[in-house]
Amino acid sequence: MERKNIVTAPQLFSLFFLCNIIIGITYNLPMAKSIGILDHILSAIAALFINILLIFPIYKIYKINPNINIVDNCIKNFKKIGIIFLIIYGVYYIFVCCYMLSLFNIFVRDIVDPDISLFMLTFCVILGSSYAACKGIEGIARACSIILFIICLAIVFIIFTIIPQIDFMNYTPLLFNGPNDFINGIFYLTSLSFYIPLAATLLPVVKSGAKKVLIATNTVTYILFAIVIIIIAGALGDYLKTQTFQIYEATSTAEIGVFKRLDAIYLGIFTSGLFITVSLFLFAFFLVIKKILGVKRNKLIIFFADIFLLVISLILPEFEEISCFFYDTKFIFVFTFLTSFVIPTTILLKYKLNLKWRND
Amino acid sequence: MIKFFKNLISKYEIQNEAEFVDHEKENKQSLFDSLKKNLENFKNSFDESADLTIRPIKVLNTNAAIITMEGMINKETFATSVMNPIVYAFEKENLTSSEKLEYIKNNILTISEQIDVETFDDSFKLIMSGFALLIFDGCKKALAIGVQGFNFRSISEPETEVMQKGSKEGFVEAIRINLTMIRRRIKNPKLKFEFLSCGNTSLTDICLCYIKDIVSDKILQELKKRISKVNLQNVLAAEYLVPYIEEKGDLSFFSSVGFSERPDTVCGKIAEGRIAILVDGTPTALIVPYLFIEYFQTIDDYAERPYFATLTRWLKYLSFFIATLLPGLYVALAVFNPEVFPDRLISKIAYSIAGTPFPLMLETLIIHFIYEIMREAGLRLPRPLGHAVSIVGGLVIGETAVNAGLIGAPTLMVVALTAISSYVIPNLYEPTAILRLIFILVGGILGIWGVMLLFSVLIVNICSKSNFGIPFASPIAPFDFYSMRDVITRVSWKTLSKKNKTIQNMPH
Repeated sequence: MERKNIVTAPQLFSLFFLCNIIIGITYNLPMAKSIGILDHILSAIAALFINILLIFPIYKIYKINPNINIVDNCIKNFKKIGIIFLIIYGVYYIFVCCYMLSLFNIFVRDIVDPDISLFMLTFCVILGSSYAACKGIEGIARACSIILFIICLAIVFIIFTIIPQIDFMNYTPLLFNGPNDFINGIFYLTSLSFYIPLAATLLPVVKSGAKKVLIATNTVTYILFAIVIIIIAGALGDYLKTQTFQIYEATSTAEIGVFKRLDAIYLGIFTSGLFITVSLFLFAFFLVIKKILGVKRNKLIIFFADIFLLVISLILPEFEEISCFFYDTKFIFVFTFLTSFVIPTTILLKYKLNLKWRND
Repeated sequence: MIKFFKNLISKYEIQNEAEFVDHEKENKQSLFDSLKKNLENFKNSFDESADLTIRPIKVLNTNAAIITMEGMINKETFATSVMNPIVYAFEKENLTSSEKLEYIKNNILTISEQIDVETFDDSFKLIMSGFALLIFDGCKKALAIGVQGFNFRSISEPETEVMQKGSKEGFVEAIRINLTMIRRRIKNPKLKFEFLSCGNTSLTDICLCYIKDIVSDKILQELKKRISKVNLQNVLAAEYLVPYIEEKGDLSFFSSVGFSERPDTVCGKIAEGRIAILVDGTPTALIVPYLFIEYFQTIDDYAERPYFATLTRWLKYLSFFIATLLPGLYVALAVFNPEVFPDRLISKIAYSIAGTPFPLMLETLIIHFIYEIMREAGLRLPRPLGHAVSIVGGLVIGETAVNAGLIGAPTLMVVALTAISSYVIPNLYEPTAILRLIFILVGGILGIWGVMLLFSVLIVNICSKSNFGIPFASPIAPFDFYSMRDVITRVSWKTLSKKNKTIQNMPH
C-alpha cells in the first residue's frame, strides 16, 4: 500500500492543538461537576500523564505499520468483525461533531443570545465544515496552521488584557474543598481528549515526527490550560462559580486602552476553531464510513451526515434529559476511553497473537 | 438517464474527434507537382478571399508564383529583397525546378528567414503569419520567405501595471515583438520559446517561454498536455486559456494563473522556474504556476529600499484585508456586537444608523452597488467623461445622500476606504469585489460568527488549491521559513541573491 504522507508534523500538531484549544475555551465548571476551578490545575497535570498512557496503544499500532490507520487496521486484523469497531469509531467522530455543535448552540442561545437565526448559523457551520472535509486533510491542515496562528495571537492579546485585573486575594489553597473537584477535573479533561481517537485515523498522513507531535500536543495543551486557569481565577475569583462559560466571561470583562469587551474576539476564535474541529472530525467520519459502505456513496454519506448533524445539534439542547446524558462526563469518558485505549489495545493484542501463531 | 446523456456526450466527442482527424489529414496534404493545381488549391482553400494575393511570375525561365496576404507583409522589403533579386536572377542551365528553388534560396535571396514547406497546412500557417510563399512549377516544395511587416501598437507603459521605477515597456499585441522584449532581458541561450497553436478556427499562435535548465520538466509536460486539450474554436485573448490551465474542479475566486503586461515582471518569473505563455494578439502574458502571495509582489518592491518595500508590502496585506473584510466586519459588529466600539464611536454610528431609513446591511450593499456601477461606468467611458462620473458620484450622490439622510456618513466612509484599499492590489480587484459583497451579506445575517466562518472557509479554499502540484498558499501553508525573506519582509538584494529559489522547490 502506498503511503500518503501529505501533512507535515507542525501541521498535524496545529490540527490537534486547535482541536484542544476549542475544547478548552468551552471549558465549564457545571459540566465538570466542580466548584473550585483552581483544583483543575492539578487535574490538568494529572490528565497530561494519563493521556500519555492513553496515547500509547495508538502510537504503538502506528509504529508497527505507519502506512495504515486504525480503519484499515480493524479490517486487517479482525476482518468482518472489524466493522463493529469501525462503526464505534464512526459514531464517536459524529458524536464529537454533535457535541461541539450543540455546545456552540447552547453558548450562542443561552449566553450571547444574539438576534440571529440559530438554525441558519448551525447550517452554515455544517455546510462550511463539509466543504472543508471534502477538500481533504491537506487543505484543512494548511488552513489550520494559519487559523491557529491568528487564534494564538488573539489568545496572547486576551491574556495580556486580563493579567492587570488579577487580584491575588482570589487565589485559594489547592484542594481546599477536598479531592472531589480534582478527581472530577481529571475525568472531565481526560474525557475531552478527543484528539487521541482522532490521531488513530490521522497519524498515517504525517510525513514524520508523529511521536513529537503527540507529546507536544499533550504537553502544550495542558500547560496552556493551567496558565489560563491561573489567570482567569485570579482575575474573576468567585464570580466564575456563577458562570457557565468561564473563559468567555473573562474575555467579556477584559479591557485595555480603548478596547473594551473583547468577547467578540472570543466569538471569532470559537467560530473559526469550531469550523476546523468539526471539519476534521467529519473528515475522519467520512474515512470510516467510506470504508464501511464503499467509496461510491460518498456524496450520499455527506448529505445524510450533514442532515443528521443539523438535526441533532439543534434538537439536543432543547431536551434536558437527553442532553444531560449526552454531556455527562462519565459517558464521554467511557466513549473516549473505548476508542482511544480499549479498541487499539485489542488490535495490538490481536496483532501480537497473529504474529505468534505465524511464528509457531 | 444520466448514463444516456453520458453516452450521448461521449459519442459526440468521438464524432468530433474523428472530424478533427479528417480535417487534420486534409490540411496535412502535400503540395502538388503542378503549379496550376497548387494555386487552385490555395484559391479554393481561402475561398478566393480578398486579401489573398497570388502573383504569377517567371523565375529562371520557369513558371512560378508568389503568394502573400495583403497587409501582413512589409511591401518595401518584399520588393527590394524578394521580387527584385528573383526576377532578375541569371538563368542557370540544366537545373530542375527543385534545384532552381534551392539555387534561389541559397544564392539569390538575402533574407535570413527562409523555410522549406512541403504541405498545404504549413503553407497556410506561414502565409497568414506574414511570409511570402514562392512556388515553382514542377516542384513539390515551396519556399516561405520572412517578410512580415504588419502594423502594431507601439511599445508603451501598460496602464494596468504602472510602476514608479523600472522599465516603462509593456507587451504589445504582436507576439514576436513580445518575444524580443523577453530575449533582450534574458540573454541566455537556455531561454527557450516554444510555439504551439490553439483554437480550431483561429489557429492562434501561442508561445511557451521558459529557461530550460531551471524549469521543471514535469510542470512543462503537464502544461503542454493541458494546452493540447484546449478545444476552443477561437482564442482571441490569453484569458481564454486560463480555465484549461487551472486544476480541474478548481472552484475558487482566486486564479492560480498569473497575468502580467510587463516584460520585466515576466522575465523575473521565468528566472524563478515559471513558464510564461504569450498569446498572439494579446498584450498579456500568462504565468504558471502562480502563488497567492505573488499578488502582493510588484517589480517596484525590488527596485526600492528594503525597509520601504517591506512597509509597502505590509500596506498591501492590510489593504487586502480592509478591501475584503472591513464592510462585512463593520456591519456585523455595528449590528450584533456594538459593545466592541469605543463609546464615542458607537454613539456616532448609532446616531447614523438611527437617522437612515435602511437597515445597515442593506445600506452598505446599496452604497457598494452604486460604487460598482460608477466604477464600471468610469472604466467604459472616455477619460474626460470618466472624471465627470467621479465628480457626480463623489460629490452629488455621496454628499447629497448623506445630507438627505438616505445613507450614513460612517457607512460611506467605510465603503470609500474599502474602495481605495482595493486599488492597492489591482490584480485582486475581482475576487475582493465579490468577497466583499458576500461578507456584507453574511455579516448582516450571521454577525461576527458568519464573518469568521466565511473567513475560515476562504482560508481552506485558498489552502486546498494547487496548480501543477504547487500549493497556491505556499510558502505560508505549507510554511517555508526561508521564503519569508520575501513574504513578511523584502530583504536586500545581497541576501536575496544568496540562494535562488525556484517554484518547484517550494514546500509541497
